[in-house]
Amino acid sequence: MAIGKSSHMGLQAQDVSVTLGQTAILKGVDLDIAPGKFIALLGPSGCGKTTLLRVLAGLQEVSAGAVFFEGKNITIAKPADRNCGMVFQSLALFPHLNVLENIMFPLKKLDLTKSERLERALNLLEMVHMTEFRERPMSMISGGQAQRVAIARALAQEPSLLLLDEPFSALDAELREELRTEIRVIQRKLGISVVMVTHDQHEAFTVSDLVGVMNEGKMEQVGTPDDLIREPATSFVAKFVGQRNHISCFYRDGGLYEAGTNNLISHSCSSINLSPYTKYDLYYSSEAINAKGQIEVEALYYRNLGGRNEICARYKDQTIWIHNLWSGQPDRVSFGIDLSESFIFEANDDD
Amino acid sequence: MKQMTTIDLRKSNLLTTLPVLLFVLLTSVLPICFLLSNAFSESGNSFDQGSGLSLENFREIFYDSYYIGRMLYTVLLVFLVSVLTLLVALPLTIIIARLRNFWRSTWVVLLLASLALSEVLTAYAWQIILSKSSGLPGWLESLGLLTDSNSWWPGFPAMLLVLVYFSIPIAMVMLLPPVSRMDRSFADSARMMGFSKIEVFLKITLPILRKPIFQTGLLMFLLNTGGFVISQQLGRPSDWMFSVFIADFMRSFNVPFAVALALCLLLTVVFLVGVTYLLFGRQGVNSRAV
Amino acid sequence: MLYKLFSLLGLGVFLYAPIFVVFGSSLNSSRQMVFPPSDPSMLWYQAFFSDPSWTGALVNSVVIACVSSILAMALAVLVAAEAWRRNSKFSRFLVGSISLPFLIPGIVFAVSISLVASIFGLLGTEVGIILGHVALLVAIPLVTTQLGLSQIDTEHVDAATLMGLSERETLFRLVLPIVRPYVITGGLFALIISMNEYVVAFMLSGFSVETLPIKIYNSQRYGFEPTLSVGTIIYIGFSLIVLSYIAITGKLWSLLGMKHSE
Repeated sequence: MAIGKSSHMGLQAQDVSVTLGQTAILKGVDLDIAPGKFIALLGPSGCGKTTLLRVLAGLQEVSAGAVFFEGKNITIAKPADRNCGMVFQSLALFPHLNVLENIMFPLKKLDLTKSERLERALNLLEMVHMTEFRERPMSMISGGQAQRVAIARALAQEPSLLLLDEPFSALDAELREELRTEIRVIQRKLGISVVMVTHDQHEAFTVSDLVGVMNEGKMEQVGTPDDLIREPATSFVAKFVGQRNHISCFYRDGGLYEAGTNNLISHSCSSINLSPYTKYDLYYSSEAINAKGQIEVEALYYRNLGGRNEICARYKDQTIWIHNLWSGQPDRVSFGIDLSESFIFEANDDD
Repeated sequence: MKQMTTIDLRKSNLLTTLPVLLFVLLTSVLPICFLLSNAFSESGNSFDQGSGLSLENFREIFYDSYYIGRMLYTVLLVFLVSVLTLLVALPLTIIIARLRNFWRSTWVVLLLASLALSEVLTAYAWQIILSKSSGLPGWLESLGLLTDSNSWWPGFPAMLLVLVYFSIPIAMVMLLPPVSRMDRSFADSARMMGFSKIEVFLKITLPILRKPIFQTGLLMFLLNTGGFVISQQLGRPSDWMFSVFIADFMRSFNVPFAVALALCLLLTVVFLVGVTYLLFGRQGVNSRAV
Repeated sequence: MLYKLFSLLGLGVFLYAPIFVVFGSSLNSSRQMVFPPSDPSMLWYQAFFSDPSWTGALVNSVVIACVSSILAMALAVLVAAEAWRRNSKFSRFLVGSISLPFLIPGIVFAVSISLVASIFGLLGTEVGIILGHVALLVAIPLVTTQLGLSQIDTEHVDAATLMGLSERETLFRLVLPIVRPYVITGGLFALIISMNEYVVAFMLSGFSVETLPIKIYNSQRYGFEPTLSVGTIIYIGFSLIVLSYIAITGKLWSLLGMKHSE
C-alpha cells in the first residue's frame, strides 16, 4: 500500500483515497507540510476535509495511498501510536468527569506518578487559562471554556501533531477570534504541527501558515493565503477563494465574448494564450469590472458605501456588485472585465 | 414541555378536565383506598367487606417468616433477573445501535414484536420448548447428546431463563435511544489516547450510560415484580414469586388476605425504589451526554 | 466483526425460537405437541375457528382492545393537551396520577382495580375489563402524545395567533395534524398490549368473561393442545403487522428519540 517514502519530518499524505461502498470520499489527496506549520483544510460541506483529518488521526482507513509523519509511515498505525492529539467537533469532553479529571484522563496512559500527572495537568490548565475552573463539572462550563479544556486535553500527551475538527463552529465571532489566536500562540510556543478543518475562509486565512482547499474529495490547491488569492491553480479555487463571480465565455478574433449572447467582455486578451472554439470559465471580482464591454445586467438596487456609488445587479444566478461608473442610477448597465485582474480556466465538460 | 405563550385561559376548561378527574379518582385514587381498607378487613370470602377493621391479615403474614422470606426471595430474584438481563442486553444494544438504518429499523421492529408476546404466551411457548415430548430435551436425546432426560420445567433455571427472556427486549428497546444518541467521538477520543476497547467500555461508555441503565433496571424491577404467570408456570412452588401467592388467594376468593399481601408488595416496592433513588438517583443529574 | 454477527444471530434465534416452536406445534395433525410437526396440517386452525369458545374469546379480546385503546387515546389527548397548555401543578398531578396504574406492579393494580370493580358491580363484565385496561394503558398514548406536542414550536402557535386564528382553530388546524400520528401510534401500542394482557383481565373477568390470553391460560391446565398455539400465532402475526405499520409511517424513530434518515 505504501509507495513512496517520507522526505522529511513533517506531515505527508501521498495519493490518499478513501472509498466507502460505492462512494469515493477522498480521491488521490496529496499533502506536504513541513514540521511546525499550521495548516487549515478549507472547503464546502461534503468536500472530504473531515475525512482527511480522520485519516491523519487514524480513525479512518485508507483505500489507497500513504500517510507519513516524523519520517515514519503511519498509514496503518493505530491512533494511539501516532503521537497526535485531536479536538473533535463535539469536543467529546467526558460528562462524568470534571475539568481536571478530563485533562488527567489521557495522562493515565503515560508512565508518570500521580503527582507528576497532577503537575502536568495543572500546567495545561494554566496554559489555557482555566485553572480556577478545575473542579467544575462539564455541565457548568461555557462553550468557550469547554473548548479550552478540550484543547488542553488534546495536548496532554504532548503530541507533535494537533488535529482540530471545526472546533469553533458553535461559538460566536468574538470568541472564535479569541480561541483562534490562543491556539496559534500555543502552536508557536510548543512548535507543533496543527491541522485545522474549517469551512470559514476568513478563519482559515487569518490564522494559518498554509491553506489546503478541498472540493469533492480532491485537494484543489495547497498554498499560503496570498498564493490562493493571487494565483489560483484551479477553477474551484478561483471561484471559492476570494468569492469571485463567474462567466462562461469563448475567444474569437482577439476578443473575449460571453457565451450564448456574444456580448463583448474584453478586447485586451493578447497576454493570455487563448484558443478559439474552446469554452472558458472566467472568474472576476468586482474590482475587475470596467465600462468597456457589453455584458448586460439589470440593476436591482443601489447603495453608497463610503463615498462609492455601487450597483447591485443580477447576472444569471449570481449577485454582483458594480462600481457605478455611469451617471445617475441606470436601470441597465453594460460592463466589461479587465482580464489582467481575473482568472480564466478551460471549462470542464460537466459544468 | 413548552408553554403556549399567547393562548392562556385563566380558568381551566372544566368540560375537558372534569371527566378526566373523575376517571383518575376512580382508577387511581379509589383503588389505593380500597387496597388499604380491604387489607385491614377480616379474612372472609369474596369481596364482601368484613364487619370491622382488623389487623388479622397482617398478623398472619408476619406470623412466621414464611412470607417475609418469600418477599426477600422475590426481591433478590428480580434483582438477579435485572442484572443478567442488563449484562446481555447492553452489549447487544450497542451493536444494534451502530448498524445501518435498515438493519437497525428491522431489529427495532423485531424487538418490539417479541415484546408484544405477553407473559401467558411466553410461558406457554417455553413450556413447549423445554418439555421432553415436544422440545429441546427430547431433541437432544434423539440426537444422542442427552440420556434419559426429563422436561426441563418446572424448575428454577427454567423460570430464571424465561424471566430473563421476557425482560431482554424491554431492556433493549429502552436502552437503544440513549445508546444511539451517545456521541461516537467519546470512544474515538479515548481510543486516540491509547485506551483499549474494554477500557473504553468500562471507563467511558458505562459511566456515561449510567442513568439510562439505572432507569432500565428500575423498569425491569417493576415489571417483573408485577407479573406472576412466568414464575407460576415455569417454577416449582418453592420457586414461586410473591405475586403468585397474591394471585392464588384472589383466585380462591380469600380477597382480604390477598389484598394485604398486595399492599405489602406495593409498600416494599415503593420503599426499595425510594431508597435507591435517594442513594443513587442524584448522581445521574450532571450527566449531559444523553 | 464476526462476533457481532454471531451474537446478533444468537439473539434472533433466542428471541424467536419459542415462536417458531409454537408455530410448528400449531401445525400438528395430532393432539400431540410434537416439534417438528410430524404430519403438518392446518387442522387445528380449522378447529380454532370453528370452536365458538375460542373465536368468542378472540372476539372479546379484539373488542376490548379496540375500545380500550380508543378511550385511552381520548383520555391521553385531554390530559396531554391540558398539561401542554398550562404547565400547572394541577395538570402535573393529572399526568402523574393517571399514569399511576401503569407504574405500580401489575398484580397490585389488578387486585386493587378489581376491588373497585366489585363495588360498582362491574366484576365479570367486559366493561370492567375495558375500564381496567384503559386505566392501565392510558399512560402509553399519554407519553407519545406529550412527545408529539413537544415537537411543536411555540413560535408556530404565536404565528397562528397573529394571523387571527382562535384557540379552537389553532388546536384543530395546527396542533392536531402534527400530533395525530403520535396519538395513533400510542393507541396502537396500547392496542397490542391490551390484546395480550393477562393479569388485569384475569382479575376483572370473574370467571365469566374470557379473553384469549385468559382462555389460553385456563386451557393449559388441561394439558397442551395445538389450539393454544394457534391463538399464540395469531397474536404474534397481528403484533408484527401493527408494528411494521408503525415503523413504516416513520413516527417510531421520533418516539424513540433516535435519528433516522431514510
